[in-house]
Amino acid sequence: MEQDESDKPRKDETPAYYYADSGIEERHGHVPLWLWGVAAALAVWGVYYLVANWSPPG
Amino acid sequence: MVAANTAQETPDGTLVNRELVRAWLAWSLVWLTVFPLVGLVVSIKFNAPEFLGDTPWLTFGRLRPVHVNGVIFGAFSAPLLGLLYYMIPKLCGRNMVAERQGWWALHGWNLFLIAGSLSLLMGYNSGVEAAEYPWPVNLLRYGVLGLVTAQVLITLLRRRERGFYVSLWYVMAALVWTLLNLILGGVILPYVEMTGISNATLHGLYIHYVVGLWITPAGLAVVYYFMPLAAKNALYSHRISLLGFWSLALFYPFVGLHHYVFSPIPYQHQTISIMTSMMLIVPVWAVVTNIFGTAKGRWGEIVGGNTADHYSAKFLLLSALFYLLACFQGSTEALRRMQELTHFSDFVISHSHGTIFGTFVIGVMGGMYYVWPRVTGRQLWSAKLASWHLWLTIAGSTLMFLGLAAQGFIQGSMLEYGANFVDTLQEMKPWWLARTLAGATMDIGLVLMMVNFYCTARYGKPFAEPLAEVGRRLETRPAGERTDWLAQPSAVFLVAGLGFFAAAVLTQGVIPGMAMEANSNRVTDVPTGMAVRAAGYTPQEQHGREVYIREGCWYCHSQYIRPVAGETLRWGPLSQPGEYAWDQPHMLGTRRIGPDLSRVGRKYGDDWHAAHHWNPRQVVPDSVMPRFPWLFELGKDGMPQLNDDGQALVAYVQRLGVNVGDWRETFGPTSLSAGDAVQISPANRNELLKLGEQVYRRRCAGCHGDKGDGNGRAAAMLRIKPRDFTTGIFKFHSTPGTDALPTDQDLYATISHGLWGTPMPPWYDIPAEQRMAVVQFIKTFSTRWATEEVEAPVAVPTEPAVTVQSISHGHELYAANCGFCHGDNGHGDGIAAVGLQDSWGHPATPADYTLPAGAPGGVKLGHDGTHLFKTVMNGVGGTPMPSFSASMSPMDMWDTVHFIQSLRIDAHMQELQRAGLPAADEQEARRKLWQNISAAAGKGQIETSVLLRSMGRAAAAMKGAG
Repeated sequence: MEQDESDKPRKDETPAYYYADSGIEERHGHVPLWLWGVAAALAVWGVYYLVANWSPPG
Repeated sequence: MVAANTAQETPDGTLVNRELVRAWLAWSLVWLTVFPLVGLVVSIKFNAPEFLGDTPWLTFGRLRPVHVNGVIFGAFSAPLLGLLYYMIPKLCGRNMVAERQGWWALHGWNLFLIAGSLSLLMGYNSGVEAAEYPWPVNLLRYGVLGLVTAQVLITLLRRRERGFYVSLWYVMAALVWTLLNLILGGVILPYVEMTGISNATLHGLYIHYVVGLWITPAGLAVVYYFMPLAAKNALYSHRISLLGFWSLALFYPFVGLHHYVFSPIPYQHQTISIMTSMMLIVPVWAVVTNIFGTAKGRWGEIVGGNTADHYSAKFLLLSALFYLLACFQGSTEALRRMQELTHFSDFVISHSHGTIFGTFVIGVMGGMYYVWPRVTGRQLWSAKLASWHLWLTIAGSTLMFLGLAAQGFIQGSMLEYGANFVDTLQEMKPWWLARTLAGATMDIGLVLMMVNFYCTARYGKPFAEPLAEVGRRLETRPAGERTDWLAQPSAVFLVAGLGFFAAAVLTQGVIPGMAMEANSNRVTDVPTGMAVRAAGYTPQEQHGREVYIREGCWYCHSQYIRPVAGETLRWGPLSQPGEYAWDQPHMLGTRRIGPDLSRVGRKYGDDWHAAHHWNPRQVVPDSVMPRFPWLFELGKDGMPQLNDDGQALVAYVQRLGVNVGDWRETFGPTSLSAGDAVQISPANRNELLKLGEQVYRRRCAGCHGDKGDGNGRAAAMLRIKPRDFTTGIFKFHSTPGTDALPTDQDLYATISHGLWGTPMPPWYDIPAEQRMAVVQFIKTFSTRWATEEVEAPVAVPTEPAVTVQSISHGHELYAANCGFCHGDNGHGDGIAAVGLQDSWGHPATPADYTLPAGAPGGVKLGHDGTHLFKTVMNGVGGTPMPSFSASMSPMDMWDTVHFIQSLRIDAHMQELQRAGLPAADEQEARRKLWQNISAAAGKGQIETSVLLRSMGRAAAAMKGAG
């Protein structure tokens, strides 16, 4: 029998965990590089902002 | 409702008490309809302030907290709690512990919502935003939430499922955080004694914990649970879940103070809140990536599908989209420059609607679409109604979100450019209409949802829950990956639930309150720059404060002046921490539908406030303020007069902002604008008259009447009657002769400055061109302007030095010429003071020179030397105060002026001494007070001995000795 297109595993699939009673399946997955980049950029900005704005102007 | 459908039992069907979940969700439909509808009623009041306005419990200030708390704890929390009774057993692989207690929880929660809403309508309001319910209602809420928390945590600890799914992290943390936060809002804020700034600091945390540590994590638990099921796809990434949850748990507890940026809360703690607000971009983008990733490859089916599961997925994706937009808005909104522009405006309301409704109410509705067929055993009755619900929600929420944000930018820009505050409200009115339409659109969608769910339960086709919820099974493996400590209950409970929360409360709540300025009633007296102590409220003022809270005045009027957006020129000196020493609960506020009231004390006369509260539009035609007729009783003359509550409220309002001294005497905008007028060329006069008439109709006619005869609609309530312009007689003029016509500059000065202690307010905050124009229009009411020449202003000789001799001589002149009416000590209580009348037969009271700016009975245009000189020289038009130009030489007049000024300075020094001015500072304080009102003293021409003691007493002694 021909396999349904939606049943074919994806190339980027990672191991997953199946919560049997709820029926939820959860990929282990990964955090995209761009999201790490956003987090890192914000962290750098955050430190700068704290230092630059610790005391009121004047 | 259908009974539990055992025919559709699935192998795990016994885990969930379907009847219980169904009952929770059925009640949720009621709250989802009722509380947003209250919001619709509230929004109509922006367009029609009189709408349902004569009944106390239907006024804006009572309905607004019913709407806000109702949406948070009814429209969102009721379905959320109901969904927990579905999610928790399924995620834990066992029934909810003490499952039947869920019925008590449901009845208790409904009782809490009903009792809480009725309490607020009746005026029982704690004054703590988002924690307004009275304590018995809070106790009930706490009991129910505690019960649910116990059920959830014990079920979780006894779970059979080894995996600890991300929804459980959020649920666990949300419940722990909220039980702690409700203690903060319900016990600590109202009952633990603290200063207003400490109160505001902790309240900033509390109010955002309601949003960030209850609604957000609980809502995300729902989205995370139902998205994979509704999309029939695996959750995109466990690792992103970790990043999203832990970054939220780390940053969110610190952000609350961004509600009070530019307030007297210590600056560095505001900075921490702004930085952490921006860092929230990380968890938001993480969650959105995860949710959209979960829909990857299924978009076509979701968008094209017509089952309840498809609509569940559509609402969940819409929720995620609003989460992305509204939370990015929220993060950037915390930045100081954005706060300058948008804070207190509808931009904030855009954010709250975008997050609470747009994100999380829509999210729980997505969960309800998934669960309802499963607990009723019926297929969704109408896909068409669900589609209408979806599209009405999209249309209404988007219009609400974008429209309110645009309003914020528009109003903020207008205010930054110096527009009159009420003029900015006028600009908001078309947008407010759009807001009402947006709200109605959303509410119609909610009603359709309720109808659809009712019909589903009643008429829907039988529904068989699929054995496998996920259509496409991936390779699975044991829970080895779940052994990460960060994904364990102990980490969530100890680190996120307790650790980060405690660290944030300590850093952002307790430490700022320990700063000396926040913890003291010490303030800087504005006229002298000296340290004094802010006084507490009198019993009447305290009662007025309670009325202020009860009537919800604080929902529309803030009480802190920021150092940005021209607020110190608009309303008065910058707010200081010590001013709030006696303010518990604090009234800093988060919204300005009306102007800030920090400095409103003595700006308007008591009569003006009475007329304004009786019918705001009689005095300010563009006002959207509600009427408060229940603050009045019928007087003996048949006119409404303030009852005890009303008098107390006015006493409280008149007290606001005066703890930093008599700053109004030298307030720049009223003084500087006085010389701003120009002579008008005939060519421009007609243009100006058109504008002047518009200004007059909008701002003056309510008191002075359409015909300028002083018989406006509000005039009957004013004891000091508005000027009758038809006579062409004005109190203050620089031209010679008691009833001489004033110059344009004189009228301009009076309009800009207002007349203290009378219903005539200052109008410095309208554009100069409007003031110039209305001067021209006022002159059209009397024929005197057409038949008489306006004489040249009198020359004011240079003021001589302020000396003991000058003051003493002035005292002699005063006793001979003025004391008969103004009294020996300048209190306006001379033997001839009783029975004086003005030219219209109204009572006329001689001025009490000792009173501070704006006090009833005091001087009306200030103690400035030049002004007093002109007044003595030219008299006061239409009153018994004559011109003394014939009986006094210019130098005699200056001496008299110096004595009059010394009366005020002596009284002012006594006020400062009562406020705790150190004796060592008295001489310097006296010097500064003189410099504020005397040009000669300002140039250093003041004798040192004048600064050493009370000059009034010294002069009296000298006179006695002589």
